Amino acid sequence: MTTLYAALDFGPVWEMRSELLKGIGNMALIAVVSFALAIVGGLLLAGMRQSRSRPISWAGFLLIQFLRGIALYVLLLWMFFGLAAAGGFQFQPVPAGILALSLLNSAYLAEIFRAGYEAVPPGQKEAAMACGLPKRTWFFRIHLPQVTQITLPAMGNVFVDIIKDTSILSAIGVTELLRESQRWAQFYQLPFEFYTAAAVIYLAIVTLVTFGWRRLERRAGRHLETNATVRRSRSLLFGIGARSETATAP
Amino acid sequence: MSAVLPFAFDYSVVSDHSGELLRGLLLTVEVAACGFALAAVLGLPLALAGRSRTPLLRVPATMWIALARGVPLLIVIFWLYYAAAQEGLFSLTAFVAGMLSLGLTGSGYMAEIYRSALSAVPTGQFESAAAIGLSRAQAFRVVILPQALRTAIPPAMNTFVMLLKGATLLSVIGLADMFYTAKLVAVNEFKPFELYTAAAVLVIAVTLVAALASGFAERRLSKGVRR
Repeated sequence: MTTLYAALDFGPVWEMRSELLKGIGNMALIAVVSFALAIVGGLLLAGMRQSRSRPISWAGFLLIQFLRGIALYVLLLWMFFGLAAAGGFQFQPVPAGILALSLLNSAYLAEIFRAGYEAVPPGQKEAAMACGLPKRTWFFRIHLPQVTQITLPAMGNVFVDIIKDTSILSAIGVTELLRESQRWAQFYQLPFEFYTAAAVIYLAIVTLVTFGWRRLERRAGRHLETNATVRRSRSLLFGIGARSETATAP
Repeated sequence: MSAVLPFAFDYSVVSDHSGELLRGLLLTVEVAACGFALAAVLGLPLALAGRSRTPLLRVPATMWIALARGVPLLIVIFWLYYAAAQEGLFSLTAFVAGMLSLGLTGSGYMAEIYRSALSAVPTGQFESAAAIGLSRAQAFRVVILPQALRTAIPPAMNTFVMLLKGATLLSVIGLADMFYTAKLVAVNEFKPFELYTAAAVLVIAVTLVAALASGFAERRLSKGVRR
């Protein structure tokens, strides 16, 4: 065991911290842009799926099935090497990665959006109409906030998946965190140290994002939370106040 | 077809290597299935430990799940295949390293699936099982688990598809699977478009079959429930 600890040398990892940080920056940029584009794509696909026209709805269904079935690594190499060889159309690595990530995840998001859209009880719309709200007001003030609140947890999972999947872009030469780690792992002949460091960094980022996203979810669901004073008085009265949060969750 | 496509699609290079590709596909499915089996076996005790009252079980299980879900698969693969071998901890073949990395990553996802499936079983089931005199272990085995497994099937199948897609990554450590063959032939014959298209079609086909199988398994296990 002593030889094992003697062999571990995290010094080079710390020395290369600026390179690794650059990799993290690239990863963050790619993940955020891909997620934003995937949301747009997901809304488009969900809209196609909801369309009243049969062919458009079917095209949306096929597209979603197709995009959900393909592996990111395969799509990346297809776009980056395949298209270049066949049509002389050469992507730069970063745009290719962003495009592949947003395409695949837009399909997942489309399903999430559709489920969220349908999960709002129809009574909400009927009540809004009965109150004489215009359709636009119903959509933006009644429907959308509820859809957001329902879909946010699943969207967070997709965002975390995108962050993790940026590591696959190293295969086409995007200089994100894993690529940098690989490069210096080979340079210093210290794969254990560099890959362990990369794993820890990924884990830290994913954990941070998850916590941040929880806050966002709580904010989106704040209309469902019982006021603290009310909760306290309720628990005094009936002894059920502590359960109010689980009781109101959808 | 050539009038539609702006470039020629050379089928012959795909059909010439179809035997190798299909054999590779079998290996891809095999390693994904082994990884999934490992994940399914590890996931249940993890989920139970995560629900345990003693922190001695709960804390390690929660950390394991966070680790499995937070570290990208590609890093797990590199870590198990290169890093551990370099450090002299152990040295694995590409297949075992692939199966382990898929299984370990999948175990976190499967644990979450089991956990939500178990909590979806109504509490009345526990109570009535206790009321008719079943022990806790009996109640879990005969009453709770069968119901939980039924709800766990669709998300478990999603995990299998995820692992199957992740299995294409194993070509980077030299597992001679379908995608490794496709890459090799693509480079040798300089036909990347044809080979990668074929690979994509094969992956989509297998995931579609998996989705169909999931529907079948769900119907089989729902025999006891009439809707």
